[in-house]
Amino acid sequence: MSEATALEEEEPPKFDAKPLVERARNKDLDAYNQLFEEYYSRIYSLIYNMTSNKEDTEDLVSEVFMKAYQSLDKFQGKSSFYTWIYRIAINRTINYVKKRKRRSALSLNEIEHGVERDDTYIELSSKESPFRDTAINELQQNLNIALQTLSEKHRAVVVLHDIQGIPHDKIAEMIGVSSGTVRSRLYYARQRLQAELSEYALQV
Amino acid sequence: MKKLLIEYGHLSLEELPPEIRQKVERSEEALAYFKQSKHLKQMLHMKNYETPASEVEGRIAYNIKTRINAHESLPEEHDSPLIKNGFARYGIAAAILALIAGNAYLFSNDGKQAAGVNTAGLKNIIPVKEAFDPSSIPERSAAFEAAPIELASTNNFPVDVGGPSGSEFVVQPAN
Repeated sequence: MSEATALEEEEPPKFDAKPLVERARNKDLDAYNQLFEEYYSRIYSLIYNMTSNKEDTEDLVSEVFMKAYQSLDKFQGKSSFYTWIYRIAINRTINYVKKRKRRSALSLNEIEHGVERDDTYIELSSKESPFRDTAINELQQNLNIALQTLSEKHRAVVVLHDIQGIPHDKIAEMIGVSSGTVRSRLYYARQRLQAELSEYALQV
Repeated sequence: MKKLLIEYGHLSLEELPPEIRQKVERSEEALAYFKQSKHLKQMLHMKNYETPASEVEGRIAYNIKTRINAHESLPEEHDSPLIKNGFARYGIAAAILALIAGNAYLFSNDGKQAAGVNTAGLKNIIPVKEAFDPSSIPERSAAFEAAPIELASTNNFPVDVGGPSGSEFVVQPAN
């Protein structure tokens, strides 16, 4: 997926958040509900892949949208609402994960049935790789375990770039670091993940 | 080579600028990195198929709405506008500090002289060390001797509450 394609996918041009944000500022809950519906699944996915725990994710998603609503007056529109709420979600989740005394048990979501029709899945399954003989649920569990071995900052970059397909310069804006730092974190995180997932490694 | 991998590692092999791609293809290590990264990214892509149960979205939306409504129905803070103002808070803190410092100065010797206070007169108001007489303290045993307390009994209880008398409270053994 090219960077341009990723950008188009992650921010559909048809959706204009500005008028809804203005209405939500004036305590219009219907407008805020529309914003929630637009961004819910991406925020959920970000937090879920950061925590690997369904219950924590549900609490944190509520907290992020609640916090964003209360802070709408501080939103100056310098970045898009999408970038702004992502920033809240990333910071809240990193703080939460750091503060929790012990790692919560993994609690996984179900895999959608459509996965068998995904081109990437078909390509992976047909490769001469250990993945071919692995049940998708087992891979899902091992990916979550491997992700949890990364530091919060490295995990955030992998989730945003490699799972959600957000370009690295946009990630830099979201987490408030340089593009170089994002690239560096991505490099080290991938090294670590490959070591953790060596049983699935591609023989090259 | 590591620098190159950090700089361009977020791209796929196909997306690399031609001159960089040539460099990568000449290095086994770099080529392996790009192939392994692609494979890893494909595996991570599968995580997009992990989705929550359908009722979760509705539950979260309801939770947010309830919390927002509850928050908005809370009464406003009753702090005065002065307290809410950060500068006013600093001002009040500074005034209190100034008052404490002023008092300390006034009761110091320099302060008394400067303010023309008669220190001899103050001795009558503020107990000073020389005026302390240890014999004025009552003996420990006397000071802490408790006066006898007359205990109530069932015989002299002045009100008849209509209940059983003391002797009638019998604990029945459990079956």
